[in-house]
Amino acid sequence: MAAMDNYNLRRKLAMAVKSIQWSYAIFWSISSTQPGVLTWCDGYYNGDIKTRKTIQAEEIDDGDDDDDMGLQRTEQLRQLYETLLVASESHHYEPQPRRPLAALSPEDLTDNEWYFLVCMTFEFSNGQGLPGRTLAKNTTSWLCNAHLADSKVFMRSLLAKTVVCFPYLEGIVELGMAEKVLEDQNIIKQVKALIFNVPPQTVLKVPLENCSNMLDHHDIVYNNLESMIEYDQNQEQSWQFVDDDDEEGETSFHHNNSTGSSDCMSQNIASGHGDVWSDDDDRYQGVLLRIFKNTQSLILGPRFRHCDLKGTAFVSWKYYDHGMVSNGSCSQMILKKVLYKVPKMHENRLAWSRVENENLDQTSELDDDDVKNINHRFSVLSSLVPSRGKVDKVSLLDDTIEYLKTLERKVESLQSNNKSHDERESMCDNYRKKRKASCDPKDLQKERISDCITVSAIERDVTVEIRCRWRDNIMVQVLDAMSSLNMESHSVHSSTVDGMLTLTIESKLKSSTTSTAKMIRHALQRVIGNRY
Amino acid sequence: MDSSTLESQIRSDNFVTYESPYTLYSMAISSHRQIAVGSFIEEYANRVDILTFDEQTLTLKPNPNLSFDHPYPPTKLMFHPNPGDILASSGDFLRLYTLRENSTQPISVLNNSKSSDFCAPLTSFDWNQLEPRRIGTSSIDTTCTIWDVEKGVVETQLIAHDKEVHDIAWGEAGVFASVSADGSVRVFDLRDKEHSTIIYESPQPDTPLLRLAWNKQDLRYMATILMDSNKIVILDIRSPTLPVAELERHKGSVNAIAWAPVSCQHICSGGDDSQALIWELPTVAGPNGIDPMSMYTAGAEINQVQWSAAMPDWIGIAFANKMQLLKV
Repeated sequence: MAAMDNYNLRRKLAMAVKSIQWSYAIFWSISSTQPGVLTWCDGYYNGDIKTRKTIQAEEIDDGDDDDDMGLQRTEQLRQLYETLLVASESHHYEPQPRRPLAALSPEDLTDNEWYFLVCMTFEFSNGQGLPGRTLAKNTTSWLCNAHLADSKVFMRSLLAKTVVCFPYLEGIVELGMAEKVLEDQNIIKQVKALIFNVPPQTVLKVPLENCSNMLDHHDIVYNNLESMIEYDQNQEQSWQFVDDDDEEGETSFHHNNSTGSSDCMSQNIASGHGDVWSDDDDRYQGVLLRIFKNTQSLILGPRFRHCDLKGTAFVSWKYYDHGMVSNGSCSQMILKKVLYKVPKMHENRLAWSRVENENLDQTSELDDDDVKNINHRFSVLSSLVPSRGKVDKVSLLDDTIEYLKTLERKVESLQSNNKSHDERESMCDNYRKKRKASCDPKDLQKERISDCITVSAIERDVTVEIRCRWRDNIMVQVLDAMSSLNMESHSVHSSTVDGMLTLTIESKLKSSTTSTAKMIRHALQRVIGNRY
Repeated sequence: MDSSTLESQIRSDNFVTYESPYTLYSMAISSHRQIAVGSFIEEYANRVDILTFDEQTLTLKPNPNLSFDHPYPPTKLMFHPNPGDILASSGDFLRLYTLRENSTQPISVLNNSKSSDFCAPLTSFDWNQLEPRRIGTSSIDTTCTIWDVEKGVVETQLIAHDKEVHDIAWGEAGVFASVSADGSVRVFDLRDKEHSTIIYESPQPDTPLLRLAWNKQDLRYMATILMDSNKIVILDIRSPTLPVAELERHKGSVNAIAWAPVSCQHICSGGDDSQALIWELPTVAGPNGIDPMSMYTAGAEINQVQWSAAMPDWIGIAFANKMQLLKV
């Protein structure tokens, strides 16, 4: 058949099948490699076509457009078959995007197209199946209720209810229809006229005039096929077979079946008969499994069928063009946080606890500036508080506490009996200096008037205020003491009221000295207190 | 509102909603119809709530007695494959809890670092169904750790990737795969720890791969998702480097994927477009790519999808502060 112009053949099939408005036409040709075996050569699909959204019955129209559409569809189906075949051979049933793709995918097919597709997988040896028997008998066969037929008679009992076969060239033409059509010689005539209108080179004489002999013989039980076909006795079948001549006969297989077979597919798969049959059955089964394997209807139950989503929260997916939901940086927000931010939270906690641990060790070593400031305050404090000799900070704080307590007692006693006192005396207790050493504040006990010495130092400028009982040479002694501490006095104010000397000396420490306010105060106390 | 959303919300007999006080991320379904949901709060105090699902009345009943505090948000929750009353969580450590009648007791806190009290944070883990004493964890320190949780010891620790490991999934008892910020999917066999097989690398170098799902029904296939991508990449371990399919019908980035527990051909995905899509991997891909079979539209970005063998008829999703079980 290689020499045959497939395109012309397909056109002829198309014309024939469309003229009678049937579903498909197939030409089974005798295989060049396996003599006597009929294999798929070409076909034309004229049935329903499913698009994604709608199932539309193809208009029966002989116009060129429609013709082209049908031819195209047939071609697509063939491509799909070949794709499936490749897929099966490589034992893949997953998508293979790297391979050239068929325009159709399995889910695009109607049931009729499935049938057509499945037919492509068949081959028939002489006498086998309807095409094989037709070839063997070289007659025309008309099979009604093919979907109910026994598998030996008609293996593909899936959809086609009416099938007609007749020899043509080196092969068999098969026409099929999904509805039951009673045998009609006019149909056969019409089809043959279209297909044979160009006289074939090799002629298998089929006298059309004999067609008139064809009758519907429901009641005649005559079956010379029984010799080669055993059929299932469970099915009530009657075969009508009129066999005029092996060469020039019209054969009618008529099939009345009162018991329907509910599961055509499984019936087909299950019914093996002899080696030849089971080979084909295996093949058929293999194809079907390949195609149907793991589809949702078999695996997940019927509710998974595309159009049957009852009882599920999901609806059929449909394309809608709302564009991408682009939320830019917010894309995968929580997922990214889980992967990137949550681990950081753990890490931060680790870092935080480390810092916490270190802080415990660090408490004694504060910032340098803080240390300086604190030490400075301590030195100021020590200059104010009478020391018991120890110089460490704890002792100093103890001294300060003691001293404050003493002062509080003094304040109390003073407040209780201070009426007789001169205003001025209490005035001298004020802290007059801004930031620096205030002085021993409340001196004045009546009986033992203690001295009041204030030393305030700002940088190297030191101001000394002394208030004490006047005596001879006291100013000289004070100034001597100060000069012995490397203080250069540049301003001295003094006054004496009621025997009390008030002395204010402003001086500057010489650069070489390290005298502190405390040392100065102690030195002056010694001077003033000499007398006592 | 999208008509499909309306439709699915009217038909309330096929889904059930749990509303939490917190944003939810992690989720696990047990064989006892218990569902664990982990909060996502960006601070220390987080919570794992245990719900009981009643299919007859279509209710999700919280069990306050079983709920417990969790330090930081769990990055993943998973029940013991069998019998399912032990719950594991990942985060700062791998933690195991046992769910009793009236309380949840911590069993163990597994730390793989011998030198310190701190374990590198875990991004995910997977419980080996065939060998339930094994749990594999993935960490930002580029390693995967295989635990023997019965003994509470580290079986092995592998430097799996060049960057953070984002997810791990078991294939067989001794074979696991992981995805990483380095953009690769690698398969490891515990019998040969020295080597790993790279079976996929993201097309733009260094596009991180975020999650991984291994088809437990057909171990030839696994699926992964990329950062800032609406694609689900389906891989066949027999044909490394080239994905067998890329599912790209989401209108936003994909956040979660889950293979069907009883079918080798179906996978569910959830994305920023608020949609959960069920895909059927076809025999042959059409030229225009693969369309999903069905869809569900949620009220917000879907962050989690769980499809458990314990309840194959129900898909769990988490979005915002809600968890829903959707009838398949």
